[in-house]
Amino acid sequence: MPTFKLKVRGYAKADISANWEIHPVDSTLSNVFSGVIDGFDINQWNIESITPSTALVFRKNGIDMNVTESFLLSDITNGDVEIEYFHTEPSAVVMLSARGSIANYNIRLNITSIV
Amino acid sequence: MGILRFRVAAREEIEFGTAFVEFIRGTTATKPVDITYSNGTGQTVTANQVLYTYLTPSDDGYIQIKAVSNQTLTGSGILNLSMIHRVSSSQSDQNISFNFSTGEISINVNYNSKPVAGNIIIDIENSETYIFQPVDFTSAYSDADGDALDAVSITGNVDGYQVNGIAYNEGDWISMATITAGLFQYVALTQDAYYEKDNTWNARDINGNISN
Repeated sequence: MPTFKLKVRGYAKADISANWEIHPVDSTLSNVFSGVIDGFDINQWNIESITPSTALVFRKNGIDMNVTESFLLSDITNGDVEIEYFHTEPSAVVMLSARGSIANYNIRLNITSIV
Repeated sequence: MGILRFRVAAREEIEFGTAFVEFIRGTTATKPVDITYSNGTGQTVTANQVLYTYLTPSDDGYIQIKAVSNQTLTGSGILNLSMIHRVSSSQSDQNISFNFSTGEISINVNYNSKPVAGNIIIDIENSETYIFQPVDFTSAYSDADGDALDAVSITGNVDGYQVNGIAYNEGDWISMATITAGLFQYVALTQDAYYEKDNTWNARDINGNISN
């Protein structure tokens, strides 16, 4: 008989934290999430907050994104998502919620401007 | 000289009605075939008497029709036959006709296919109750005759499955109407860890045919 499988997502209690140092020459980053979330099989990210809000901006297909907007793994692999860090602030914290194939995650990006 | 005249009475023909029988494609089965008759004049059949054979038992399309019991056909009544048939997966509807005594027996044979059920994988949120939708099943269902999906059944460890708020019993048929009404649900475990729940399922079409 054919299989009938339910895959019940887990819920990760621990946050994922990543530290980025961004140099002026790297102010605009494409495919920023490659390597950050290896092994977590995440396919959707939702921007929860940017602190301070003036430190950087996410862009998808060249259009500035607002907090609470989301982007997909395909957006990243297609090179359609980038972050521009303005280097007006020495550091910033980005919080995202992420949806993986088996769990949800809270992701904290600690970004430091290197000048 | 006198005239010697013989009067030869016309022989009455026994008449048979047309019988109908249905078989499932891709199977070998024996089905009863009851045929009405009239103008019987005492024709006899004996139990297991073979009246018709087509091909051999190992051939797709094989048919053998036999009498079920000893019968004497007088006046009107029903002739009880049985038909064993090996059906190919592509058999089309057909008519089988053969002579018996002075009459002709005609049987219309219709065919239906079993539905095909495919594997289903559904992603469910943590610690939530999932309400199944018809598309969860129809997306993995097909039927060569175009027969609609009528019901599904789940086998294996069915803990957590509910129908109308009551624990589901393994193997019970759940109608598509029940699913459409949102009454077939799965209550996920209250835990943070990811897990998978593995079962198997069957589909039943509107003619009562069940998938393999």
